[in-house]
Amino acid sequence: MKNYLNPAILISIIILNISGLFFIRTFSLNSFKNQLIFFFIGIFIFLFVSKVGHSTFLRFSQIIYFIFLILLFLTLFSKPISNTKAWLHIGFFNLQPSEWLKPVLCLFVAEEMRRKSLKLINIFLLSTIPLIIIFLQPDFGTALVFIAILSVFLFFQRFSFSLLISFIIFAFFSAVFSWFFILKPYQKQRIINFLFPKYSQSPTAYQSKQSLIAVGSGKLFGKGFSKTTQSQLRFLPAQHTDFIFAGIAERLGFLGSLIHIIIYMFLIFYSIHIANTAPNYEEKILIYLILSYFSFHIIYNMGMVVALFPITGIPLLFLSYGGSSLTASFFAFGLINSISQRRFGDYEI
Amino acid sequence: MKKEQTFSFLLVLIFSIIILKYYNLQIRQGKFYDELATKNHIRQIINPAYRGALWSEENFILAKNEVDYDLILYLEELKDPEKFINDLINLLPLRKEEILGRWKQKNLNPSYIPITLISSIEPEELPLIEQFKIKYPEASIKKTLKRDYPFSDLLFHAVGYISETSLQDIKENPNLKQGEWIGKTGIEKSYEEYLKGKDEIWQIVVDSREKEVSRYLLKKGKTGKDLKTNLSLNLQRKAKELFGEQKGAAVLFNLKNGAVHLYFSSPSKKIMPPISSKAKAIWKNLFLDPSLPLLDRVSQGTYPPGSIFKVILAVAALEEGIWSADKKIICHGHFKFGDRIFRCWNQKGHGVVDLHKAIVESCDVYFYNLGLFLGLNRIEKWANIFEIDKKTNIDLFFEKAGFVPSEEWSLKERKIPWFAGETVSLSIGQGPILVTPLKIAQIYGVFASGGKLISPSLAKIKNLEYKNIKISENTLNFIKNALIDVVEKPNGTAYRIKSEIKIGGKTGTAQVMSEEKRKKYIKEHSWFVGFAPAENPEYVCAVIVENAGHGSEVAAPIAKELLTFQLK
Repeated sequence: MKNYLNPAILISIIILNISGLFFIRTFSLNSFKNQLIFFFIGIFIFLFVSKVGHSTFLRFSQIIYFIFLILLFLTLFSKPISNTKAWLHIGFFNLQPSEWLKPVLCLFVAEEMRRKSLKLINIFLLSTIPLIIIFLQPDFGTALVFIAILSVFLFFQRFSFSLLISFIIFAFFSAVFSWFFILKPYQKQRIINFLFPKYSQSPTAYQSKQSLIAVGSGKLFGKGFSKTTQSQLRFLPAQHTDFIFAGIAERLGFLGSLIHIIIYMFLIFYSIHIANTAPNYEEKILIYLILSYFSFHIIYNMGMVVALFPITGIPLLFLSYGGSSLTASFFAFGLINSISQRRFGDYEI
Repeated sequence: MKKEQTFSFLLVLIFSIIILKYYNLQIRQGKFYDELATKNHIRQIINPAYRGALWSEENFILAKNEVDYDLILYLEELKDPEKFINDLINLLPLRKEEILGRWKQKNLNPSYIPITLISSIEPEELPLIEQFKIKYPEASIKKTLKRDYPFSDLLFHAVGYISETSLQDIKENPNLKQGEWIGKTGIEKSYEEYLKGKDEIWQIVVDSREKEVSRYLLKKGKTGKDLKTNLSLNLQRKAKELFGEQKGAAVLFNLKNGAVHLYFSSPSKKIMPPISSKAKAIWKNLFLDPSLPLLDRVSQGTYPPGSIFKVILAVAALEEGIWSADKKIICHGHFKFGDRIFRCWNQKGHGVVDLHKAIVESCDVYFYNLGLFLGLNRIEKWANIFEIDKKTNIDLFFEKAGFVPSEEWSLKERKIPWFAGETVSLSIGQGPILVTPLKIAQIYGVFASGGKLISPSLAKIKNLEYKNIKISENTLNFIKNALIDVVEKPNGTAYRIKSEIKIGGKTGTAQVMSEEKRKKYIKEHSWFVGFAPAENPEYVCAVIVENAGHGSEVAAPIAKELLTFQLK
């Protein structure tokens, strides 16, 4: 059997997941059990993608993209969870198609770039479809992630003035449109809170404050596992999902935060290295696109926890609780792993 | 490869910013956020200590604790303070002022210590507040101990009262907290430490829904001690009866141990401490009442001593050795000084007068002459030997010292030189000279006790303190005998109060200084200070009745009754 696993990638991912599981366990046993199941599913997906190889997925990217677009579209008719229609309720679990669409969009764009059967502008327009649906859900955070993917996509193209202009106009109108027709009052409140923190008294300001207190009070070495107050006494909101990193910072202090940041940076820069040494353009662009949204998640989440960015639902991938984002991330890094292990052309074409 | 490098470079830059931000928060501002985290989950409960009760000499309870209920609030939990406070005011509009007043002090306490918003919840308010608590679980009702003064109509001034700390109190003593109760006046203030004990403080760990997770004792409490006073409730009652509607003061203390048995300031009304809005309104009226019922006349009311002051001149004359007791003056009922005529109270004149007779009959003309002979400096010197310019150091906080004029004062404060005509008035205790009734009692205690300037005490625990005044025994005896003759001899000014109990004392009639003096005649203050039994004095008693006329007519009979009552 060929060695199709890159240990550096797999080990860093597993370390992050174990850490995440650990913190989810301190919050609730039920969430821990669920997350553990998704972790194993994720590992399976990772192995499966690595085994099958990224080229197969690239080949079927159009159909995969199409399937997930339909799934995403169907969410608009689903039952909203906390004001957002982002989930499909399938049997015993809820699927969030937008999470999966992130790597799937990357696959689609990379493959279209290779085929060159479509004009660049058309690839771009096709790629904005999920963005529009997500605006309608509405899921402000995920929309931002898609904008990040599209920006990096544009960034890596030969400079095209019309493309840039159309993107700016599109962004502007979607912002104005969403402010007046789509964003719910609580979402507007979040943006206002972020822009004018002094005038805010809302729950979001409370979240942000509690998160800052949790992080800051961790100091250098953290409070350990039995003496945390912000986490254990539940002042910290969403401490197993979006704010899991605040709990980590409280328990493990600056040293613990730094170690986690370094692991993420390693994962990202190691992947950049794989991209830069990849033999084909589409492989390289695929990794860069995946990294665009992955890095965005990490940076935004860590920044949001310390009030650098407004609060919105962007999970810390591999750490935060949530099945769809976890499995989709395993899928994405399965692709990167596959590229890294097949760069010497020893796979069938 | 340029774009790939840009991509990596941007990522490194952003991650550096993030790391810096975490460094800043966790290392540089760590302590600050740690404190915030503590505030988040720590609440304090203060169980006020039992405050010692006050007892009268006869074991009547003068101040005791009663269970009461307050509405308190932990600020930290409150999400919308404006709305909360508006809702509370709408619920209890009568409490508006009280609530807003306390709300102003809300930031004085650390947020884990609750603030008191309503004190003494009335029974009819209770159901409303219970309803309110369902809407605002941040508020809670706390059992507290409130003070009750069953005899405040007799003893308000001596006992004083306790009240919640004011902004001013907290500024002066940062150890105090909002909502804490402290003695404001009287014994309640001067024995604050002794009575108060120590509050028991519990630290409570709560979760984000304010559910208690654990608690531990932060500070052990200590029960305050009961305090026995020397005050006699019966004597106090007697004084009130004798004064009736008249304004004034009476004080009586034991010459052997300094124990103050009577400390009475009239008018003496039932006064509620200004705590509830209702009591505050009443208090405001009392404050504006022209009869000044809140004023403690015994140790804070300063009056010209009138003829009471004459004995100081007599002492000065004898002790300086420049004026013999036998020196005789002829009194025609008036005294001419320059172009002014000073009258003797007895317009017919006292005839030939020596020092003894001058005291017994209170001859003004004799003292005009003596005063001029002594001069201001000697008068001032001897008044200060009796410490008129100092406090008696009774165990009260707000006692006032008296005032004696001097040449220096005249030039510095009045900007005019002292002139001799003023010395004439000063000789009979008129003009710019002021004393408290308590001080007068203390001064006459010197003659009654053989030279001791006794510091009176309201509480039993205060030890006897006195100073020996350096006066020869001859002088002391001379004055004492003269004072006895004031009552015992038919020509004495207080002969009318002669009774089976031998009393020595001195009458006084102090003219009232008033701007409107010329337009309207204001009756003089009536003074009497005396001691009994005369041979071996046990008690000294000073009485002043404001605007009542001659000392012999009004104050002296009251003093006699009080001394008799006490000696029985």
